[in-house]
Amino acid sequence: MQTATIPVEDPDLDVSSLIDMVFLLLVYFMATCSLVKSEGDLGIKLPGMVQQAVSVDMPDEQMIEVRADNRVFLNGAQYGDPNEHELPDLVALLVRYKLSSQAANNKALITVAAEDRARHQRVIDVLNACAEAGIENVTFSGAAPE
Amino acid sequence: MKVPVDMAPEAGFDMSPMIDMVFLLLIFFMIASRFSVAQNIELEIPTAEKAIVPQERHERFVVNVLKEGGICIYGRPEPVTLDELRGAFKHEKEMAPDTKVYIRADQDTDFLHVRKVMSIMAEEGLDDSIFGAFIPN
Repeated sequence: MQTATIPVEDPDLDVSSLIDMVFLLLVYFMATCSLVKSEGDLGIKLPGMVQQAVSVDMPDEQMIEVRADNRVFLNGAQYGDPNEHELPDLVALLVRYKLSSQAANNKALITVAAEDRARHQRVIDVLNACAEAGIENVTFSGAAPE
Repeated sequence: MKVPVDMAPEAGFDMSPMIDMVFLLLIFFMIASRFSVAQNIELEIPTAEKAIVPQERHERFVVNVLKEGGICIYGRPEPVTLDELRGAFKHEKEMAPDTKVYIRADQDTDFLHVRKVMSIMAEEGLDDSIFGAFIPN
C-alpha cells in the first residue's frame, strides 16, 4: 500500500531583513562620519639656553614683521599680497639670503616678529615661506613690534 | 509521444557579492567615525603647503588654542589657565624630557595667544614645538 508523504521544503534563510538592517547602519555611518583630515607639521626650534663657556657662532639674522592687517615686512619692504596665502617674492628673497649665508659660512636665522593682533594663519604663511626656502632656524621675538 | 522538455532553472539573483561589499563599507565607515571621535578639539587650523604629515606622532604634548584665545590641553576639553598650563608643561618635562609641543591654533586666533603658550614653553625648558597645519588640496 502506498502512503502519502508530505513533501518537505528545503529550509531557506531569509536574509532580506538582515540586508535592510545593514543598509540602514551603512547609511547612518555614512551620514554621521566626518572623515579625518590628516594634519601636517611645521616644526620650529626655539633658541635654548647656552652655557657661557660654549662659543657660539653668530648667526646671520633677519627679522620678518607680521602686521595685524596681514602685511608682511622684511627690512622695511612689504612682501606678498595681504589677501593671498602665498609669499613668492619673500620665498625668492629668503632663498638668496640662505645661499649668501651659506657662502659666508653663517647660519641663516629668521626671527618672526608678529603683532599681538596678527592672525595665526599669516604667521604660518611666513613659516611656510621659510620652509619653502629651506630655512630651518626660525624663532619668534618676545614682544610685538610697535 | 511525449517529448522530454528540459525544465529551465529559475532565474536567480546572487546577492552575496553585494552583501560582502556592503559589509566592507559598513566596517570602513564604523572605523572611520570612531577615529573622528578620537580626534582633538575641532579647530580650523591654518593651511600650509610645506607641512609634512609625520610617519609617527609619539611623544607629543598637544595644546589647542581656540579662536577666542582659550587654551585646551589634550585630554581636557575645558580651557585651562596659564598656571595650569605651566604645571602641565612642568609635569610633561619631568615625565618625558624629549617631548615636543604640538600647537594646534585656530587660523583666526590672534598670535598673542600662541605667543603666551610659547613663552611658557620657553620658561619651562621645552624648546621643540610643532605647528599643526592642513595641507591644501
